[in-house]
Parts: sequence; C-alpha cells; structure tokens
Amino acid sequence: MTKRVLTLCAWGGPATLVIALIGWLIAGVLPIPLGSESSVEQVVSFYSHDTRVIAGLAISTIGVCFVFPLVAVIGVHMVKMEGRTPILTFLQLITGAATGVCLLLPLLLMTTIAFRPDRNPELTVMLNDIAWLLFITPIAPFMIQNVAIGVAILNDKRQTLPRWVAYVNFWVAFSFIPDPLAFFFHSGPFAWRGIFIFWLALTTYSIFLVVMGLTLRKAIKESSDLDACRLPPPRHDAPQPTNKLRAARVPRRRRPRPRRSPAAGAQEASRTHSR
Amino acid sequence: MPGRVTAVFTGLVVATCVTWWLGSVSSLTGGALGLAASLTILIAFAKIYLIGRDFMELRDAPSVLRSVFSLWVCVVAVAAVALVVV
Amino acid sequence: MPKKRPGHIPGEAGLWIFLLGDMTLFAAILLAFLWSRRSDPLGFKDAAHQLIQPIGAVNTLVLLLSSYVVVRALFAHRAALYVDARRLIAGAIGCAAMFAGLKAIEYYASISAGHTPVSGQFFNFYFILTGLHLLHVIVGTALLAAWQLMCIRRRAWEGTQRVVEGIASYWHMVDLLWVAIFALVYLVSAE
Repeated sequence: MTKRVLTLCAWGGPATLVIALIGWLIAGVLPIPLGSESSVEQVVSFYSHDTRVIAGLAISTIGVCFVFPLVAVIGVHMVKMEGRTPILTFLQLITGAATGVCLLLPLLLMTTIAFRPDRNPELTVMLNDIAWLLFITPIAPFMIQNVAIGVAILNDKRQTLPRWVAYVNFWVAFSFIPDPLAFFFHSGPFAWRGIFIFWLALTTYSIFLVVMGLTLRKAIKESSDLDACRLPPPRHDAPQPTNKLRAARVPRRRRPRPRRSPAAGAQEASRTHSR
Repeated sequence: MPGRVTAVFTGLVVATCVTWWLGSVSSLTGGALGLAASLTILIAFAKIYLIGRDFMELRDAPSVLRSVFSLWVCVVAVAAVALVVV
Repeated sequence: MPKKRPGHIPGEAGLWIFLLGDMTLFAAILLAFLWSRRSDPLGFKDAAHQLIQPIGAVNTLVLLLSSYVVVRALFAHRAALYVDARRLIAGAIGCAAMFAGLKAIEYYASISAGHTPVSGQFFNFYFILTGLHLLHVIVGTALLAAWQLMCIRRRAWEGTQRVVEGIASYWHMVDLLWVAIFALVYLVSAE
C-alpha cells in the first residue's frame, strides 16, 4: 500500500509538467507567451478570449499542484538518506512547498485577469506584469530545494538515488540564476519572455520534474523495506537469536562481600592509602 | 607529468599574448575580412581544448567523455566563427 | 606516482553532466551575444573599446596561472605532499582574489564612465556574462578553500580523489569559460 502511494506521488512530477502544459496550450500561453514588450492591445486581446483562457489557466493551476506530492516523496527518500537529523529533508519540504505556491499564485492571478476582460487596459497590463514577474523571478525557494536534494544525495552512503541526479539538481538550480534579470529588461533574451529566462527555466524545471519522478519511481520499485508497515507477530516456538557479544558483556553477579569489623575496616583503609 | 603540464601552461600564456596582440593590431587595420577575429576565436578554442585535455586530465578519460568535450569545443568554435564572419 | 587506470573519469560521471551543462549554457549566452552583435557591429566595436583590454588580458593570465597551480596542487596531494599542496592551493586562491579585485576595478571604471547593464546590448551581455562568471569564481574559491581544509587535515588521496578531482575540474572550467569570454567579448567585438 505504501509503495503504491509513493509511486503515485512520484508520478506527480511528470503529471505536473503534462497537465500544466496542456492547460497553457489551451489558454494560449504556449507556444508564445505574452512578453514585457507586448503592446497594451496584445495583452488586452489575449485576455479577451476569456472562456478559453480561463479554462486553460484553471487546468494549469491544478496541474502545478501535482508538485506537492512529488515534494513529499522526495522528502521520504531524503529521510532515508539523512538519518537522525534530517535538516536537508526539512529544508526541501519547506522550500518545495514554497515552490508550489510560487507556481500556483501567479496562475490564479492570470485567471483572475481573464475574469473581467473589459476592465481598464492599464489595469490589465499592470496585473499581467505582476502575474508574470511573480511567476518568473522567485528563484530562491527553487534553488534551495535543488541544492538541498543534491547535497543530500552526494552525502548519502546508501545510494538511495543515483549520484548523477544530484548533479542534475545543481545544474537546474544554476539555470535559475539569470531569472531576476527579468526585472531589469523589457525586451531581449533576458526579459521575462527571453530565451534565457522563461524558456531556459521551463526546460530545466521540466527536466527536474521528470528526472526526479522517474528515478524515484525506480528507487521505490527496488526498495525492499517500504511495505513492512506491519511486522508479522513473533513466533513463540522460534528460538530467540542470541547475541554472543551481549551475552559476554552481562556482568557476573557480584559475590556478597563478607562483613568486617570496624577495626579490620580501618586497617584495610590505611593499607589502601599507603599503596 | 609536471613537465607536460608546464609546457601546456607556457603554450597557453603565449597563445593569450598572441591573441591580445592580434586584437590590438587588427583594430588599427580594420579587421580584414574578419580574419583576425576568426584566428582569435580558433586560438581561444584551441586553448580551451588544451585546458580540457591536459589540465582537466581528459586525455586519460574514457573516449566518450573526451569526444563529447571535443565536440562541444568544435561546435561552439565553428558557430562563433560563422556568426562573426558570415 | 601510481599509474592511472585507462579510462578514468576525473571526479565522477555525474559531475560531468553539471560541467558540460554549465559550459553549454555559457556557450549559448556567448553565441546569443555574437548573434546580437550582427545587428550592430560598429556599436559593439565602440562599446568594446570602452573596456580596459589590459585588465581583461591580465585576468586571463591570472586564471591560467591559477589553473596551472591547481594541477600542481593535485599532483602534490596525490603524492601525499600535503604542505606543498596547501601552499599551491593558497596560491590559487590568491589568484582568484586578484581576479576578483581586478574585476571590481573594471566594473567600477565602467559604471563610473556611465556604462551600466541596461545601457545598450553590449554592456547588457558584458555584465551578465562576466557577472555569471564571477559567481562561478566565488563558488570555485569556496571549493578550493574546502580542499585546503582537506589538505590541512592530511586527508589521504584514496578517500578524497573523487572530490578533489571534481573541485579541480570545476576550477578548470571557470578558467576555460573566461578564455572564451575574453576572446569573444573583449577581443573579437573590438575588431
């Protein structure tokens, strides 16, 4: 049962990608999203196809939330990697949850823009700016999550996940670094629609989702100790296993000391002093 | 082993000076047909190849890794020359 | 010196996914830079002449020296000559500090001359490329410091080979990327 739940959660990775992409295709965000250099007319006309845009964006808001089960199943495996003080596990859980919210809120905001397509165009452009910049620029939760996963994998002596997954995580984290540049540029390759911002982050995050999902699925399939949530009751006729070392360490019962007279006790004390 | 690495390092330093000189000379003459630019690019990527082969010790690596690295160097060098000259 | 097995991957296989991925990303940005240059070669040439070429050239030599020193340090660590290794790593870190210092001077000069990351395509790419590279230098320096710590604790080669080769390979990548940046941004644009 546990294995099945874990596997389903691992499929959350690829599911996020597929469902969100489908939603975006329907809404028209893909193949060419609105850019910071798009004119006011282009922005308003995009949101004026309101039914299609709302439907597509609503699907994508649900799609991105499949990242939450993925974060959980990554966390389960990181606990196995870390042991008694799972600090990186906690870090991944916290920042992973944050990444889910960072993906969800901007898409909800975009859906809200399409809710009233006939508002003041300036307001539409402003809300669109907010939505896109909120979507593209918060790199820190994502980077911290990736680095936590990578470091945990490299320090893992049991090789729960293959080591190359750590390096993929580091590379994905690195690919997010240029994203805050979207604040500075209104056009070109470093604007929010730029090739090194939107397209690079989309590609590498998709790689992250698929790689984590599939390698976790493989690790779950190959792990043996997950389904043992209920141990079988011990058989009473089976011989108890002996631990020879422990048996050897049991202190022998002390022999009762013979009672002595106080004088003899003082003699003994002076003798030990002189030693 | 240190001997080879030292020789490679000396070569890299010389190559850097050559490209620097090329850069300063051609900006005076006007860059005939992008020849100076192409030469600079090719020398630079030859340096990169040497850094990979001898400093990163890829010469002892499995041929897959060496080939991928060499491919990267060739593709980027050719693309750079094409973008500058064509 | 123990003879290396044929086909030894420096560091480990997974590391090269990161290194090659990193190099490819930089290559993409450099090629985008060259593509952008085609629409305004003279503007780029003028802007490139605003850069202080000697600083760029000296920085190239400084990084090449640091890479050479890192290779010698690796040989020393391999041969269990920990004191030599420590001195050499300290030298490499010194080179990195010099690179960063020269870069800071260059940035200061550019910005006080009025060239910021948003003033035109050339300086846009210049600051982003060199900025990303400088981040790599900082990370690389931290890794070198971690290696220094290993040498101070006299950690043997057998247990640390993978990590040390990885750190060295990362540093050589930092060097190699700067060679490309210097050639394309400083030299070719000015021609």
